[in-house]
Amino acid sequence: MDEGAVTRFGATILAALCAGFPLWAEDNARIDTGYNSYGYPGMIDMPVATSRPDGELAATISSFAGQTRSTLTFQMLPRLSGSFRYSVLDDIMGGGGGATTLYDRSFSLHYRFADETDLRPAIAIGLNDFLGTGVYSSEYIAATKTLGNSVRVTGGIGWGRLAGVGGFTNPLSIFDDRFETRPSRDFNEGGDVEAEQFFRGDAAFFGGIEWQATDRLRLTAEYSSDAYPSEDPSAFRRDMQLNLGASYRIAPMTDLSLRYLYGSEIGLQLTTALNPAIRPNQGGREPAPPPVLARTSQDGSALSWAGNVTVNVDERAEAQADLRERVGDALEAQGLRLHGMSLAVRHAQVEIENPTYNQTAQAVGRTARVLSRLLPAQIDRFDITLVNAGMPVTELRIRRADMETLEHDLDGSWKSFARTRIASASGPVRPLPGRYPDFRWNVGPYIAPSYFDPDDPIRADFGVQLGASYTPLPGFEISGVLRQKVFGNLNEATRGSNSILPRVRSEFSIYDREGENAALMQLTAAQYFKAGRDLYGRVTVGYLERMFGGISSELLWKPNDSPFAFGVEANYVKQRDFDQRFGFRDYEVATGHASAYWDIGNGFHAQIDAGRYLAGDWGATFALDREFGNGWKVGAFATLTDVPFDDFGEGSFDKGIRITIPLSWLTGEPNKSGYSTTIRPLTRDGGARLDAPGRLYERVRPLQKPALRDGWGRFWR
Amino acid sequence: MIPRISFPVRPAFGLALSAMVLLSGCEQVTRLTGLAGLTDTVPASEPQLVGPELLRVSIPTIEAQATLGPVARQGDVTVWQTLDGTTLSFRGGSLIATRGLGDDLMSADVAGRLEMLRNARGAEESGYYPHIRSYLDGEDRTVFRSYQCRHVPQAHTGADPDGALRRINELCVSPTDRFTNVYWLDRSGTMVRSRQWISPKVQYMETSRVPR
Repeated sequence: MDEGAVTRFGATILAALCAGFPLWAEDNARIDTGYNSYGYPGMIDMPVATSRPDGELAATISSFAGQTRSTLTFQMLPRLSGSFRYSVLDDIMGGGGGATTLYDRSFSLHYRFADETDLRPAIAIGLNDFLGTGVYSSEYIAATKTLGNSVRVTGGIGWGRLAGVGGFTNPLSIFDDRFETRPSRDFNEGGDVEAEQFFRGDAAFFGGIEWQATDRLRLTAEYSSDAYPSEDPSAFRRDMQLNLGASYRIAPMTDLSLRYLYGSEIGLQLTTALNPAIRPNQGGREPAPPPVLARTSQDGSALSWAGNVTVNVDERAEAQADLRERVGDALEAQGLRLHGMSLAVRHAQVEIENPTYNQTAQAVGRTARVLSRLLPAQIDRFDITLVNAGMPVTELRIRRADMETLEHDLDGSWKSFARTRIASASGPVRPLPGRYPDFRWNVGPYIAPSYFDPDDPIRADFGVQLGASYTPLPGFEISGVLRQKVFGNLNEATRGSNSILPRVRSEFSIYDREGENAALMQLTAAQYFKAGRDLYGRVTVGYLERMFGGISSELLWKPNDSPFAFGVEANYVKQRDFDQRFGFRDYEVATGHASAYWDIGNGFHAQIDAGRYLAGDWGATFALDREFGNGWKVGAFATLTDVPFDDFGEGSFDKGIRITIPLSWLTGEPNKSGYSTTIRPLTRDGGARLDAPGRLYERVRPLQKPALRDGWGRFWR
Repeated sequence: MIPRISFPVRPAFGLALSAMVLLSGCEQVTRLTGLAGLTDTVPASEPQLVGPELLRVSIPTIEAQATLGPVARQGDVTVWQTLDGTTLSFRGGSLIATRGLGDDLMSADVAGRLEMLRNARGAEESGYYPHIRSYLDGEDRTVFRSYQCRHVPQAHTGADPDGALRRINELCVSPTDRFTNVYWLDRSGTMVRSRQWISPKVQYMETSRVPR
């Protein structure tokens, strides 16, 4: 229909080039890769072959003719990005011929398998809507080549929705005739991976040109191969396949785009992105640690050791108690807690807890600095044990001389790590007198979001949360969390559950509504213990989470320097009353899992949990997370159980993405808390796992050698 | 998890009384003014001075200035601290580390520079020498940057106002950064003033010894 227009547009650009149009000729000229209206790397509606910077997380919202798409895209690897999209399609053609509104969730993947060279374009392959109901289902191969410093052209071939206009017989049919036809999608509940559709049926060409006119302004013209089969003509009329757009960078990571689409519509898009690998506060805003005090510069009398033989036993005990108090105070001032301390003739044994620093290595470094300032000169080794919930996890042996000589060394970070002996702690903790019992409480705000109710895609409650814990003995912790909603609209959700499974999760909106006043989120007694050198255990009894209470027990085997860990968890739970006070409903279930954890490297972590879920279904959860060194996590999970897809209901199986944002990344302050959210396209009852508090893996792992190694850059901070 | 604000009981951190007593009546160790401010999640340690001398520092990019006192000395390294917990470490007057500035210099090798400062003579051109610095990236990984530096003789030899100070300019270049440091040495070779580069975000600081 409009190839002619593309040619004319291209000719205009070429003419401009030849006329010496002022273009950016500097070496640093760079053409940004934008996000298209579907939120993946592209032009306007069409894809490109390039990618965004590794790790970038982008939110895109685009709208035209009642077609609103909100997309979250994560550049998972330098070449691979994944998108999750929530779309509202207004006025599309319904089954009965009338116009209807569709609320759709869909996923996309974009993989650049060839980089651009002088001669070759970058080439990428992509899948759209391969899990959902399939309204945006399409595949593509795109090639992008940069011309000069500011112009980039893209051409590609599309299948499915991207072969709506100008379609021709699938070239892949030379391999197999089956490629000629695209089977219709089994639409029932969505959620299946519709692999038998991929790259089948007619194919069509698309293409476009992008011109980075200034640092901030990018102009785009594209030829779209999308026929909008459900939207045209009920939502809008397509008059041509040429789209024109302008994107303007209104803030460093934020673009505003205006489009003229299909000869008839104006579209708008806002994209904003952040990169978790880039910290807004650089290294952080914590004050400097105390300097190491070298023994050569100590004046002998002030720090002389009261433990020599001429002093009697009482005086020695008194001197040790006094020293413990001073070390405890000095560590408290660094945001650390002294759990235990004893002095031998040549070395000190110090147990610490770290409620403050994200990188445990920083807590260790500051502890060793404090010890270098306070301990008598003949102590020449610090044995620092990291304690969590009364469990001694890791012991680090640091030679005092290394602290003294490496503090100002160019390569002090690696050298001190290499010279520190790090191993699983053996033997029990020896807490200070006065460490137990211990009572702590905190109060803070909370936000509880709910996504994708068709009546209102984002709802949230805001309120105040009170947490308290009482620890009478090492590892024995009684704790509770109480929430009071202040304002919010979660109570407006009116859609009930239509689940035919036991309703273990799908009645969440009733919990939201009835738990508005003083909801008891958790009230438990837990015992944490070590059952062996690398074996950690937990037994928790009480109101475990907002919907279930009962007993939960766990064993985790996690060798200190291993990328693998294995665990088992067994629970017997009863469903709680909707008001989240002390009562129970009459559903009870035995649930539990065997778990395998794998630290793949480069920040990727995989986990498989296989077992019985809350609705009594059997299956396994697969999860993959990318964890940044600063605590950011972005991951995805999927659970397949023996519940048939039809019984599960819409979505077919449980899946979602989860994001953790460390508070310290935002504020620059040392702080171990963060905000985590799990985004599920739908919350239903199959594949639902108990949310037991205090699971061991995330308690133990940050204190072990791989995490210490990754964070050792902060040892001297 | 939900963002939690905890209220542990913390002593409001007192001013460094020892420093004030030691220096009452004359200039004293101060806070670093002008910065967005250090967090008090972890309070600053009180500077425990190991000597009476003072160092005045200003950082134009962040409009900050402070007077620092020495809190540790080991070999030819001196660590100076502000009242609110920023430290600067110098080896023979040359900056080797900062803490508490955000985009901190974690460590530096300045052997070549110290050699140059010992040998530099007026307008004499010297050879290149290496200079290595380390920083933390956004994921707490140590990043080394390697520079080639040289003494840049001055075009004019106008006498210093004091007449006694020798000014030495040094140019350092890496594939990504480039900076020019300036050092003023007295007759004994002690650095009394300087302008030294810290990091891409913080840029330069200017130091001067407070005369006693």
